Amino acid sequence: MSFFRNQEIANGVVLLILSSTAGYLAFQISSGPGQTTLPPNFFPMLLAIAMFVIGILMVIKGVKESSAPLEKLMNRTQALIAILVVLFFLGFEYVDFRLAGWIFVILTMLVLGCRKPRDLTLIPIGIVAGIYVMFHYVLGVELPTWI
Amino acid sequence: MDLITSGNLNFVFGMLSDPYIFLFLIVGAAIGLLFGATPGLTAPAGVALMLPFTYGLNLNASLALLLGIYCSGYFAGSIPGILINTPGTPGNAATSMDGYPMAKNGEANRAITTAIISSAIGGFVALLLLLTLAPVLASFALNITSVEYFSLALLGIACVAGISAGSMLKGFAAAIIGLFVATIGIDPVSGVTRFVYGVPHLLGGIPIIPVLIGLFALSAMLVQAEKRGLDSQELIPVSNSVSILSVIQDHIKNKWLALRSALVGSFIGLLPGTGPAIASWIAYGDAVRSQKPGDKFGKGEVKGVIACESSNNAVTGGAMIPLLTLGIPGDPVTAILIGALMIHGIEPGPFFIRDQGGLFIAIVMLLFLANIAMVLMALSSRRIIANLLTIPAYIIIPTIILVAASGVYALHHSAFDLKLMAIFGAIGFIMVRYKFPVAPAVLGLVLGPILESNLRNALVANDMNVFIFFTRPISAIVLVAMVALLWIFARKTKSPDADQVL
Repeated sequence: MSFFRNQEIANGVVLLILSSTAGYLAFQISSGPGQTTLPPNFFPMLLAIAMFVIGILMVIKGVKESSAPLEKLMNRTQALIAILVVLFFLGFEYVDFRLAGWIFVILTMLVLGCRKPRDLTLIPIGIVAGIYVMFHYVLGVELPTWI
Repeated sequence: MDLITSGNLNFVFGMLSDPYIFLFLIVGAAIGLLFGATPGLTAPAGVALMLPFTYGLNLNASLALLLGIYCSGYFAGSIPGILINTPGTPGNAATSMDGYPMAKNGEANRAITTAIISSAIGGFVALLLLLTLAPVLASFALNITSVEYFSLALLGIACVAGISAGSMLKGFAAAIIGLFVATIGIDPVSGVTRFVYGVPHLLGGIPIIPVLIGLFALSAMLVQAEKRGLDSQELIPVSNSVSILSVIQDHIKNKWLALRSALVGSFIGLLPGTGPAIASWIAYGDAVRSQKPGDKFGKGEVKGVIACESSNNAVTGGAMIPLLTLGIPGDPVTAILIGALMIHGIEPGPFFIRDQGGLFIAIVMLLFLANIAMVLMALSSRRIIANLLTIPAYIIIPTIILVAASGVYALHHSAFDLKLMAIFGAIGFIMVRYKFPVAPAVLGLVLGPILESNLRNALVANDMNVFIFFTRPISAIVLVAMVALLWIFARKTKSPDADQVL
């Protein structure tokens, strides 16, 4: 297991998996009717092979050289921000932009360590209002609204 | 220059008579200063984020906005580099080598003013090169075939991968990821769908704007969330006033250095796929090699700032040359500009100057005005720009995410675009986290269709003879140059600050 905690080896293994998957999916692409030229999966297959070779080279490089240990993907703050972003995007078209944006900004500010009541009150309103006015009145773009 | 006629100038005069052009130049310069000066935000992120806004603007206003961001963004990254030794963009990393020591010596204002003037000089020199070289190259490009086109596009991919952060292998892997994503959609030759899996939004290919915003802006915000802002950074005040005339005199005293650095930047920008990072380091290295007794490089030498900033802004003009003449972007921002041009139905390439000579001159004029706007705005707001560095992350991050979401949604009122942006934001974040550079992926995405179509055309037209790429002289020269450059990149010991991760 510690073998795969080497960053270079881990990167190489991921590339090998990705390239194998890509190659398999490319192989499934049909050639189309009356094909007289290069098939449509020619270029994707070429790329998959190239990526496979790079993956192997990375694994070899990782085995030969000592590289940095594999780092954690993200810390707690980043994970929370990512969850907030996903939820915000999923609900974007269903929830009034002004409400969803305001909630999103407040929660993001809290996650990022803001605790000042004045900032938590005024800044979300300012940001959301500013963006809404810019898009709705200046650019004439309709964002999701209920009112 | 015979591709351009006097009639094209009427187009330019018409454009200049529109006052909104100047407004958008100033707005673009302001946005560029904001994005360039704020660590974590970059000029490519600014240009990508503003792309959705250009849907509602006419072509000239769009170009004024984006070119304004381009010119100012590349300069403004020097400000955090000078004041807190954290360059705003990779292209300004070399500026910190002497800019930060100058600031510590009480010459912060002088360093910033020098960066402004040097950037303008670099921009203007590159423009002259663009004006003279581009039409010549365009005339030449009209005669090249798919074989040469493929080799040139491959050169672009190889260059951007070769100068990438961490390792060349990662750069190539990133480029291949971008190229692979570009194959999604309907194959233009056979009409067969590739990797669509019943998703109707993918039939036309991956929409590029959500991908760019995800890769550049969204991922950058996730990365920034780790640091939770720069509140604890020691910010050197921009207090002591400096005479602009004295800074100009510095440039006159070092005019050959400034000119040489500007030419370095222009020619580096001319190479497809490179960018300001490598230009500024090469220019800095050249300045150090030609130092005279009494120069104090690394301890606050103004020549260091002159060399770096002249060269990195010269990339703006240089990178436009392969974009407008071959349709191959010279750096990540021009890769995004292709999207902006295509929004308005303009396809850069060998026929661009011949068919749109007026627009070409207009772009040159806009770049010229963008450099002037940058100088005026930057000189008048040096202290204000410095205060941008104190804006907390808890304001910047949600603002950028909200603007990104609104902008992407505004494109087609489609939730799919938002999901795509989120997916590529995650991919971009993972890439940055594990030191895979994003720039090659972007270039792969943009150059993918060019690379594939020309490869297939070249092979089919030459009876599947792979050696045609080596037997046609221009293609052979390009491929040899590519190998030589890769060898140079592989040998060169890169400073970690020169990494082009985003």
